[in-house]
Amino acid sequence: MMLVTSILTHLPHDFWQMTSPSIHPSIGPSIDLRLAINDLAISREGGLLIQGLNLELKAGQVLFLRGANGSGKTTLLRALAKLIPLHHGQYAINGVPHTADHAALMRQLLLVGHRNAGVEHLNVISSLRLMASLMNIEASPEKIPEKIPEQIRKKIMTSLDALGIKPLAERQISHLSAGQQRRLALARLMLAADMTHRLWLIDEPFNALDDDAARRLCDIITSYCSQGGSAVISGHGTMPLTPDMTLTLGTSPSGELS
Amino acid sequence: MRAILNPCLAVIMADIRASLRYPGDILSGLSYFIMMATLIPLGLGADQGELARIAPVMIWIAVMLASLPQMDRLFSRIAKDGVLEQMLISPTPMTMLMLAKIIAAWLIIILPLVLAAPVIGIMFGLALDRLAMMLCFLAIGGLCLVMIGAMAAALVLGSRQSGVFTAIIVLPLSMPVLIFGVAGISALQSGADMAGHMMLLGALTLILLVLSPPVTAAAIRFSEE
Repeated sequence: MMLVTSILTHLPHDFWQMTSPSIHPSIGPSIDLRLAINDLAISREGGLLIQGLNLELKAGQVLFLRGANGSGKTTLLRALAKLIPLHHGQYAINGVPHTADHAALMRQLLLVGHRNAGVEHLNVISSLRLMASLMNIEASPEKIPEKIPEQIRKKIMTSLDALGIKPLAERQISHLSAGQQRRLALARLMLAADMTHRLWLIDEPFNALDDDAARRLCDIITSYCSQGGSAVISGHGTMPLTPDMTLTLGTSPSGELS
Repeated sequence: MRAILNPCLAVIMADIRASLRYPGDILSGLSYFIMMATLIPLGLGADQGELARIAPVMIWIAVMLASLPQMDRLFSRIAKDGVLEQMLISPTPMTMLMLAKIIAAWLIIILPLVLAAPVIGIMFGLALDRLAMMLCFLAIGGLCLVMIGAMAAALVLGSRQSGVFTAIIVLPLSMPVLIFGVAGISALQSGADMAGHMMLLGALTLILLVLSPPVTAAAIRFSEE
């Protein structure tokens, strides 16, 4: 019985909205305010992990989310992607509140989580192709789904090139090294690099990356932000990139903003 | 509409492409199916009347047992890889993506078994003059099994003994499929009217078609929290 109730309360937000999602206009009153968090609290395992969090991230800014292991970096990023329910408070991305239509909010963000989201049995191109579809990055109408539209293929190739893994395009995901798989996950960012309204949520991107990849990632983020894009990046210690803002989690219950 | 259709097609194509590259899953299900169907006549002896009588039950049980282990693995791999997480944050409704996943699973798991069924039908001495109807029964019943399997696999996602739980959830839910399916094929054999069984099986499919994708999506969202 408890299972049934929990399932009912966890029905997808889109359960009653099976119609085509409307594209939320990204131009609104708060166009230069990418992320606004108001008195946010998230509970994990019974206790409050994050509480009383207030934050404003403007277009073109990078927020560095710092904290020890288990301080709630991943939790916060996943909560911003609506994967974890909020305990209290609200947030808005590009002025789209978290209570808005699922599709409208999801179009405002892009999450690269801990897991790399490479489809084990596919090659690099096919796997990225699926991700591009899931992110609703689509070329003009395609007739044969089997064939990758030229426009998308070009985009995928540019993304792979930006992360330095273009020669691996035909390689099986399961044959890639951990670092290469991480690069592939980060290539997803490049797929949507021209949609600067999307807030990038990147979970510990510099883990498993070598110097070359870290430099490439810094370049990608810097150029994205110079075009008005914003990113929230988690990590510990220092970051090879100078962030506009640093939020340290775990030191005080609410985190410290500097 | 395109924002929903294209990602769904992409999910189906990705699943098919992956399973064609590594046909192990398809072949293991198929070999299980054929193994059951060859071992039972060997054990029972060559009484054609007896074999033809139990044939409908045998085919259905073979389909269920051959497909169950694969249903169990439906989401475990993509959950570990983080692909499910990306599905959840896709602007495309998770419900529709799960429907795509179910269609792909039907094509990969059930369709090969349906295509192999006529061979087994011959071994059991089934009358093949109404073969098309029998394949229809298997195809529709198979869709029911996949939808039940998807719900079960999503519900047990993240638990360690998922195989046991899947079996426990799938077993009672798939009873009606077995009953109407066997009754339908038996009726086909004896030349009796099987329209009623087909309608009941069809009704069951339609109910599951509405129920299974949202429940699967909800269970996955719950497990990813």
